[in-house]
Amino acid sequence: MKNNTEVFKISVQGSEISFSCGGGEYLLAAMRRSGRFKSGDCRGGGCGICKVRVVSGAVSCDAMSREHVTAREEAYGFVLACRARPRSDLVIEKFHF
Amino acid sequence: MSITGVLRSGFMQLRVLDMEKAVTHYVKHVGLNEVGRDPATKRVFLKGWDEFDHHTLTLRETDTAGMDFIGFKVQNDAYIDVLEQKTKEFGLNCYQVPANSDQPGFGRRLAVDLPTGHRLDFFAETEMAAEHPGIRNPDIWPKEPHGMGVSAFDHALLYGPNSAEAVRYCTQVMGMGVVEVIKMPDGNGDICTWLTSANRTHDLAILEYDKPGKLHHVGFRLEDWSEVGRAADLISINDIALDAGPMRHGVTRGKTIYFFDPSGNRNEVYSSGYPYYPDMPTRVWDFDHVGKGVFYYTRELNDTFLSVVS
Repeated sequence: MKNNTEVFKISVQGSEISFSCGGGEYLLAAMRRSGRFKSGDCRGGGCGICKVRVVSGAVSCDAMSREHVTAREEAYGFVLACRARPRSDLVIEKFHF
Repeated sequence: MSITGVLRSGFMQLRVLDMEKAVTHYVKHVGLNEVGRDPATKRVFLKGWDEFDHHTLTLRETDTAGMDFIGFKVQNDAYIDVLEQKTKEFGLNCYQVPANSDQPGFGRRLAVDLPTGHRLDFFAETEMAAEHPGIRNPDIWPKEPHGMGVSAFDHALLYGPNSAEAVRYCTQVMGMGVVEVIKMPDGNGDICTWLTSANRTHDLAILEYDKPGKLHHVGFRLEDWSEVGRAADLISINDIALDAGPMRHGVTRGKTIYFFDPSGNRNEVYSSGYPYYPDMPTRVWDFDHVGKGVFYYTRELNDTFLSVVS
């Protein structure tokens, strides 16, 4: 897949925190690897626990449950991290799990 | 034959976010067989190799995950009228779904709105599945199982409010037995109840939860430990999202493994459990023993079991 070998920088807004995420990798995997996402979740876009807001940068998303990310929220950058893959460096909002 | 009235849980319509991924998961990996498709409503009909009914799991592609309804098979068509009358007397909303309407091969159904926010359908008649277990001089399989090789729909755990009222409906109207319960932390009432229509440890379990209509998991049947182990192998080989196990439950004594489908619906593949008879006492777990009740070996709940639902 295109971008599979690229690695993007994910920065957490308002903090010094950043970590890397491969282009073929879901954001959640990188968040978990960074040690800052510790909750259990479904990894399938169904439970809504890994919801996070992308402030800047591009992601491509698989299907996410509309119960957890409405069309309006998606327009404001909300994604389920388990369904979102970066297409550029990203800035995301602080997350607490 | 003394199993009458409501016979078993044996049907579910499940919402998925991506049908292609869902079919790969449920057919190739879990091992159900595809019976048919309805492209107009974006649905696929599936069944296990050891089931006679036309189909027992309907996948529906939409933009949310979770369950549309769970189905219980009852002894005959006339019993649907009995249940309709009893349900109205109990005070729950119900309505009939005509034969061969939304589910091909199904007779009429009675849909009931449970106080937990779930829909429960009763059905009596289905067409015999085109590919069904042998009847005369039967071999053990109609054809060799594949993937995890689940034989049948087994049970579901539902999360929702007013669970005590739903349990009262299950016992008083459906005639179910209460096999096991986990008590509330303060000891007043039950947080989770395992219910049976016949002598399996559960056809249905219900857990008290603030959000209505939630699915904790849908369970499919395996034969024994070795099949649970093989399912675990396939979960790793195919990079399926593992939740917990392989392990044993204290509750029901089942041998089991939990994982997620590609839409975040939790699945369980399950074997064993002791035979239940209606003369047996309900087995009771105090909340401070819940770890051992659910995760018998590690004796601790994991961080998803109580919080992740679809």
